[in-house]
Amino acid sequence: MSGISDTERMITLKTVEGTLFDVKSSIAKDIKTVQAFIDDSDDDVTSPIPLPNVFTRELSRILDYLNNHHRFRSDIEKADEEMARYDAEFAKSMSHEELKALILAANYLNVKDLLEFLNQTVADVIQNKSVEFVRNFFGIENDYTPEEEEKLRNENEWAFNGVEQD
Amino acid sequence: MGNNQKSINELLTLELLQAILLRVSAKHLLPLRFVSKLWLSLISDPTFVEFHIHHTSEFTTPSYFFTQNNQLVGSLDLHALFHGGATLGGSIEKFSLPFPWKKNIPSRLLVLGSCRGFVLLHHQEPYYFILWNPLTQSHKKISYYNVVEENNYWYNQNPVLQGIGHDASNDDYLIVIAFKEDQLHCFSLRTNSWTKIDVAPPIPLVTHGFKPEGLFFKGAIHWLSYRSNNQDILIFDVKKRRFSTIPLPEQKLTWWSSKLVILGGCLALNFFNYGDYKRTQIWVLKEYKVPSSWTLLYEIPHHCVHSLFLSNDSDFIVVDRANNNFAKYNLEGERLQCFKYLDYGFLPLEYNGTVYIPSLATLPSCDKKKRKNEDIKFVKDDWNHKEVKQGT
Repeated sequence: MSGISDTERMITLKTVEGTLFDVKSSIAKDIKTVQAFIDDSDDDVTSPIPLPNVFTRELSRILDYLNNHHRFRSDIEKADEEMARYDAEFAKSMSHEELKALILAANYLNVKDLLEFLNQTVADVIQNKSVEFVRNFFGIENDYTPEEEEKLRNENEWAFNGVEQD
Repeated sequence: MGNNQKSINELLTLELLQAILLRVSAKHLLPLRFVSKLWLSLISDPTFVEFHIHHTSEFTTPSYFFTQNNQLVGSLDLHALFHGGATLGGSIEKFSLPFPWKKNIPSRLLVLGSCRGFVLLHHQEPYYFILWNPLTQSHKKISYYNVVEENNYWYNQNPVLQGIGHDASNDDYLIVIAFKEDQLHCFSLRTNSWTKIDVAPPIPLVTHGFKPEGLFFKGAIHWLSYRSNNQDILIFDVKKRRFSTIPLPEQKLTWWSSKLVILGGCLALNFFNYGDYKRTQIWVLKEYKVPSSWTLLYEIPHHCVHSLFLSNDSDFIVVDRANNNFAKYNLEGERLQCFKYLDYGFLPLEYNGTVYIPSLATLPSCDKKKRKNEDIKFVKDDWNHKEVKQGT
């Protein structure tokens, strides 16, 4: 097993704003986009890896998340419990805007576990919300004509029972 | 923030949006079809619906479908009740039956089982089943009058076996029924007809030898069979149309108080005793079709308890008919939560309730070819499209 040690190789990532982050190679492995870049360079990465779609705030959060999860996983006994508690706090700490920015960054960087978690978080946010709330959340234009919408609503009245008011 | 210039909608890939929508429950997805035409096509896409069924069957707390007084039908959202802080009344959604109901005719509407969000209802007079997805309203009324008539089953009106299954290999739903003879009759939704299955079951299909309602699990319908010396589970594989059996745990069980359930992704047996030994036992077949893997998972210190669901491998959600409540127990036998249901005017009796996982499934049509993984397209008219004609 290639344990985490102080002498572990570091990779440098560069955000849109030009901020540099030093990341352990074991953490970089979970960031598939970065790992692919490293693999393509035959492991010979000396200069910072540019991330043209990722902003400093999001990268910092993602690295926090990964570092914490790595730490939890090293203690098998408590891993699930602590991770669940951390994830719940992590989800709660984000505004909707932050959540959306983070999901795009996690998607671009292809961080599988985090992306699944964020997908679930968004699903929980939009679950049981009105159509108007969801349009606002995603910034979606309503492309139904009033007639089309009316027709569909009449055909599907039963689907609107019990929706939360926002 | 950096992404202000574009809305998330412009940056979100279809794949990512689908991954998010997969995690929204079927009930809450339906109204979201009205967000935009793209969302309607995404949520209506047959491939998405199929993925959604698989995702929810693995990760979702099921609901409890029930009928009351032959008229009220409803669904109890067990997740909202036990995990979402809702009240019992607030967790019940009432439905109207999908066909005209003659209220003045006293006859029993039984709930026989569920499959992929569909419930199978049985109406004894005059011999029909209703396969119905209460959420999408997709349904079909299936008469078995001809089966009764052609085989002269008049004097054995109560079926020995009944059940619903789904053949994933060609997206077909099968309803099976057996009477006194060693013959199983099978209705295929694809062919819209009944056929007789000639494969002899390994156990004689005798009256009072079975719990007639089947449980669909892993592509097969399962029934509890009872004979004086042997107790088995009779299995009918809906794709191969073949029978097999699994022996029950060796401990002596009283057949009439046993019931098959699915707990934690395993076939399980819920069994209780009215005698001195008043308790409910839950046995789990940890490895499917491996009799030595029967394990006594849990005992509840009173009888008449039916397990519905095992959450997080540690908490049981049950319906307790002795005390008239829905309750949650942990593996140590402590009751964690409990909701009395009598105040809500319904009584979940043996044949008027089933666990089911709400889905977006609609019934496949009888004559059209199965839709393959097509590109996403606007399928606005498909939702209420009457693919399946209402019963004759």
